[in-house]
Amino acid sequence: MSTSSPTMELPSAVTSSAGEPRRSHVDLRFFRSELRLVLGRRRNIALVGVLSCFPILIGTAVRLSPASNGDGPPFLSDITDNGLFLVFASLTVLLPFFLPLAVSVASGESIAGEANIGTLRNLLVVPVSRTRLLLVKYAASVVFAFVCVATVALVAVIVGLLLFPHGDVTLLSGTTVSYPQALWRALLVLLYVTLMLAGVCAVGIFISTLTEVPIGAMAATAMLMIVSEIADNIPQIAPIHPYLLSHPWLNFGDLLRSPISWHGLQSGVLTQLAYLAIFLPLAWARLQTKDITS
Amino acid sequence: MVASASPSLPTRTAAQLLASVAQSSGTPLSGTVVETARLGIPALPQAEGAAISPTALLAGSHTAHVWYDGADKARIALVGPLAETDFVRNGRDVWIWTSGANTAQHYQLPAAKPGSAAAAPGTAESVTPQKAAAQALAAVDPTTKVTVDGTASVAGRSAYELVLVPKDTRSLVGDVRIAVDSKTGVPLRVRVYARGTHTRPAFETTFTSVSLRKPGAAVFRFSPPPGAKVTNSGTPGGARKPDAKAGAPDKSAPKVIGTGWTAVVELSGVSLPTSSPTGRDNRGSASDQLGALRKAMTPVQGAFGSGQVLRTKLVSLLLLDDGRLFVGSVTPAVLEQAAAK
Repeated sequence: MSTSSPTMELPSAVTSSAGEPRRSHVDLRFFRSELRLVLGRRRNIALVGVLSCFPILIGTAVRLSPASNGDGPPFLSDITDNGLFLVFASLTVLLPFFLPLAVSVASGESIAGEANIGTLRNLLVVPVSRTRLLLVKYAASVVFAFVCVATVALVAVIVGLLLFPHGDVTLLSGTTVSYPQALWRALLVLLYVTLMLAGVCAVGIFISTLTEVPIGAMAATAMLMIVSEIADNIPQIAPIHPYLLSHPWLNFGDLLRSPISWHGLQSGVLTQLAYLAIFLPLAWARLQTKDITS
Repeated sequence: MVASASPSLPTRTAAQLLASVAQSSGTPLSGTVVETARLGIPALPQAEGAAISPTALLAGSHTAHVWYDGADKARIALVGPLAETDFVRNGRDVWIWTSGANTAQHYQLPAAKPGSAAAAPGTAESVTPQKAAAQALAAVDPTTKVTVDGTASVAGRSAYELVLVPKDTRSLVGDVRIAVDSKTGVPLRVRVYARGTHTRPAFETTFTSVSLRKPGAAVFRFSPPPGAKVTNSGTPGGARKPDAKAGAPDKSAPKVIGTGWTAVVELSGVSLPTSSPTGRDNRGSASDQLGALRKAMTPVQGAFGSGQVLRTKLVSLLLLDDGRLFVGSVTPAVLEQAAAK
């Protein structure tokens, strides 16, 4: 691993010149301004807004005509028993397409967007190395992924509380836990799903370094996710399934068993870390050698 | 997970290993089991995300979490991506919980036979290496050659490889290889090879992780969650599954013809639906699955009458037009002989 992390370079940065403000401070300011940029972009706000409509839509639909047992996507029929299942049903519905799409948009935009409007050069003029630029851009798109998932979950919890009962929660294993305990599990699900999307971010930011057309990077990332999901559904190529980015996404169900089955979650996390370990260095190498002309 | 380096262990005879396997029954343990069947039959239709039925185990690969504590406490959780089917046995109580359908079936075992592990309903237990090994070892008799063939490493534990070879060539089973834990005698892996193949087992069940600590008592406690549909049945043998309406075997008792590896089971009063019902509601139902099975069958005629035959790598199935069904791990010719008598 040759990506130099900010903390490793800190001593040299502090001693480099007396007048220059500390690097970590610059990084933090840069990260904050990047976050403001990503979260303030109108397109991204619209994406989060659309995502937050889904729990309302699903909740209202189930409230008006309750699903019978086993019908529709997983967890849908459980919502009438407990509103918290709206969180899991919403995430199950959104995880195959809408969440990766939103994250593809944010991460595909990150580098290519700046290159496209000619601000990438300006960014590098201020004392920001390309490595830092990449890490900050990556961190911001992961935060955006978290905001997407958390918004869906939060809206789902609120709609669930308003429209449905909120007593003890029945887990997949048939055991019941109290609502606050289940809420903890929902939080773990939220973190797991965010981590699953961190892999999408890594692929997205790599593709974003390849082009100066942001829409191309977004489309390519979203398409790769769909290819991964289609491949995951072809039984003839089962041996490669464990290596697919999208394969462990739905393993969040393992958090809803009793006892929690950590094995599937662990392999899911490892898969994502492997994708990070491949695509972040690739993006770094590409950015280092890239001619930034605009 | 490919075969890893074989550990070196002190030599054991086949008889010693058989004894240690017999002693190991009831050893408390918990772990994860992966079962893979490559019988060569089409994957039976299953409802997505809903219940994982035992018939699903006949094709493809499945994962189960298992917990054992003595002979009368067991829990097997067949896990799907967002679903789970649990078989919980605690003393005389047996519960079958299906997460997708939100149903809990309750059975009460007869008190007279304590420790009869075979009493648990369904075929769920056959996914575990212990059960598969017990079934294979039950067939050990003069018609079987039993040898020890090297060692293996399974789920991080060193094991002896016990090999059972049926002498009768009419059996479809080539050999059964059981990896027996070197310390405790617990079967850790069972591989069944079809006759003539030695590369890929037609059936395999293996622990991917195992712990020999006693599981907590809470694991075996099951009470149906509020809102679940609970059905109470007496003894598991007495009541058939409620969804087995059309075309399923009726209550006529199965008859066993022959012994050992070439034993054939005869059922009567069986009929398959001529066309599988379509529509989402029926997907994964018993009649839907039988319909799918029928498509893989070929018609036969002979002294026994006429019917349909299905040959898989390990099991053959002969269904006669008069409703008799013959099943065995033998060539179809043996089934036809049994039917002609």
